[in-house]
Amino acid sequence: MKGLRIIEIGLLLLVLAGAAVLRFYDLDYRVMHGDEANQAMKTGVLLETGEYAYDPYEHHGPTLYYLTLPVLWAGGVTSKVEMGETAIRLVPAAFGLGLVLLSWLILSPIDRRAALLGALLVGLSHGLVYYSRYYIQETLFVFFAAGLVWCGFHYPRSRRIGWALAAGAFLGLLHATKETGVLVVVAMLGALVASWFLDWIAGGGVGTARQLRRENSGEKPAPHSWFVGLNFQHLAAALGMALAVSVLFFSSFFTHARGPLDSILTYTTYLGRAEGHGSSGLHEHPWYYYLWLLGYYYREAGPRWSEGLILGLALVGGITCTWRPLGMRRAHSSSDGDYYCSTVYTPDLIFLQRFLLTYTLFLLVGFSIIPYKTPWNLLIFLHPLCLLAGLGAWRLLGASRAVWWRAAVALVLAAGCIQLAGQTWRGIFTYGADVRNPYVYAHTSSAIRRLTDRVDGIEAVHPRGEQLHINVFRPGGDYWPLPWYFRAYPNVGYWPNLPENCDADIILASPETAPAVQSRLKNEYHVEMHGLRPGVLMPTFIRKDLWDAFMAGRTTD
Amino acid sequence: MRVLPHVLVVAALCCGSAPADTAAGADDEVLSFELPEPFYGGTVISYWSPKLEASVYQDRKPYVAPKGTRVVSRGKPVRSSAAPLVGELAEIVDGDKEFAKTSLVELPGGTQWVQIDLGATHDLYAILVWHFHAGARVYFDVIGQISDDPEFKTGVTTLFNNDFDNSSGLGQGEDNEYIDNSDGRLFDAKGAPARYVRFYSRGNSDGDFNHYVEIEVWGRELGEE
Repeated sequence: MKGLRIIEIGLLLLVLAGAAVLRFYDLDYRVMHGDEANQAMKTGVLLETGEYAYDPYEHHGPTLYYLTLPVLWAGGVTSKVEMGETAIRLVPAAFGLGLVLLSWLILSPIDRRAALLGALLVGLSHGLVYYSRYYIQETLFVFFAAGLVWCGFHYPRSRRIGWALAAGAFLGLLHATKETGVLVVVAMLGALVASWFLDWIAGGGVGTARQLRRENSGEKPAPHSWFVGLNFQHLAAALGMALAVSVLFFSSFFTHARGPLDSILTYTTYLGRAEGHGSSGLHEHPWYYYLWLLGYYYREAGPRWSEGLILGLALVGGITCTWRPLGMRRAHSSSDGDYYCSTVYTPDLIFLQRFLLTYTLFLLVGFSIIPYKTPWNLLIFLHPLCLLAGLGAWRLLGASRAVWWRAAVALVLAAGCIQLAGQTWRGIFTYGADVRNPYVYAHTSSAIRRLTDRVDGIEAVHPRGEQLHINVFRPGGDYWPLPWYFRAYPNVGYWPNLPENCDADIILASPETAPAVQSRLKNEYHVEMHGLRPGVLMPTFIRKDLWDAFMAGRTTD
Repeated sequence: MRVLPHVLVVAALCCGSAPADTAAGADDEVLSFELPEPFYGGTVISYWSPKLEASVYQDRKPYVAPKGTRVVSRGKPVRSSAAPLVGELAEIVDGDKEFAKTSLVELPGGTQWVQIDLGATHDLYAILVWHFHAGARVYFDVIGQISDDPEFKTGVTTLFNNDFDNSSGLGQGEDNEYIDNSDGRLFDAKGAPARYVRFYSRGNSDGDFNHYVEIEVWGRELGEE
């Protein structure tokens, strides 16, 4: 038994190591998305000035910025210029790896082998890996939600206040990370009720309950309820902890009094956005959008993407935990061949499985109904889908004791995991910023590096070096992530309107404004084109004398 | 396939009204290129550059070459600087020029080349290249070269080079950038002899990758009458 335990721990470490490679390796490979750049610049301001004020209209909660600070401090980083993509992306990557461990912790009370499979799928999932390498709030958000599930499950088992306080802390962090935390909590509460209802209907499992009555005590197992025996003092302590954590972050550690109030008032903004008001109309997608991204995605010539293995296994896990959950019956054969099971019935584990199922369904349906959709929003239910898939994989393996069956299922699972791993690798590297990747959304073109290399090249020949003057004329503020890439240059102007004098060392325009810009230029310029996003181009003017100096330095092989 | 323009051109030539640069001698003929169906869709490219060749909304001028000039690249071996991410190199010379997803060969980012071995030295005339025509794109650092040296170290003739900043390191080019379309881009080898044809590119206005739908080399075996 001890040997088996060592093997399990070894396998878990292997899963964690693989997940770590996918999350931490070459973190700066992909160019920065505009949203990442935006978040990074806010972190930079916090780092340099210590100032942060929650914005109820954009950018989500403050946890990402504050939790990045220790990483930057540890690396000796003191300014935006010194911040690198790797340093800031370490934060979501670490939470992404933590999510793998947390998945194992959530599932292991049900079955340690199913927990390993669940952790493996979380570790390999393209969506979960992709956004673990992405400097936005989403991975932290999913981690905190998973932490709340973990603590929320353990509290009623032990009734210890420590679990209640930990659950409260996760709840507070969830709220302080993203406004949609409230939807997650609603889904959790709904799932608690629905799971209790399922238990009440099924009596812990239709088939087994009948078998129990027939073969053993004849009693229908009482449905488990998370609510029964709830200690209201502990509940109050948990809510107090949640409030404290939330206020701590939203008040910018007690330096911005209005923050906590804004964290509530913000819901008027986000309600409008969910209904598709304002610029969010750009993000309106049909109800099946998330299933499409997960199930089968193929756009133009290129790879085909699918996390169908996770969906399929989750379906198996969902069906089996409704009908006959793990822990329902661990029948032991006695000497005369009769079965007994009364001593191993585990209603809390059955409840947890049904909770995972209903919680996932509520999130999936809820987020699918909301017109506003972005690919990263699916992470919140992709994670519990992976947990259900872990349960489903284990149920499939155990569906028959026949060696050929287990070997066949193991082979199919291994092949599926190889497909997931290969797809994830392509998704984070080869197609990391390519529109054919289902998780690439309004992403900066990797061609941005042509521009940044060009600016660096011009800076190298400029008499005043990084003091060169750059003007950006992009109407509507459509210039992100340029502020991130130009953070080392202090003389960059982002103009909402064209001034009379447009001249600068380098000028970036939009195709619409370029003719007007050109007509106002007094100096002579070299003109070339650079890309911001696929189909979004930037006519670029480089002062002719600087261009000539730059070209003079280029040798011909 | 668009045959009508070529019929009209032949008719024009017969009537002696062909433009001077397309005048055909007794031993010449107008090459009849098979063109794929154009793609009607996608977004209009907002490429704004004085280096961009103006779009021409007319059929290409007829290309006159000695009689017997034919496609000599079909099915010939193709090499590249990097393994394709999508498709197989053989698809570049398989005659399928359609914009369909299945026709595209994708090479990784950075400066990449593909090279066709014609098997023997040929007098080369028109070389048509389709990078991508399911949407408007500009490919960067397009360089077309021919040579008898498979390594392209000696005897290299450069037919086209629009690498204006020498970012691919093969020399600064003076040619203009252009938007790919279903007509393909014609590079004129003007009868120069060579066995190998190589094309470079360095990403495009949509992203880093390099693409080819088809390369079609028209020529005659050396000394062929």
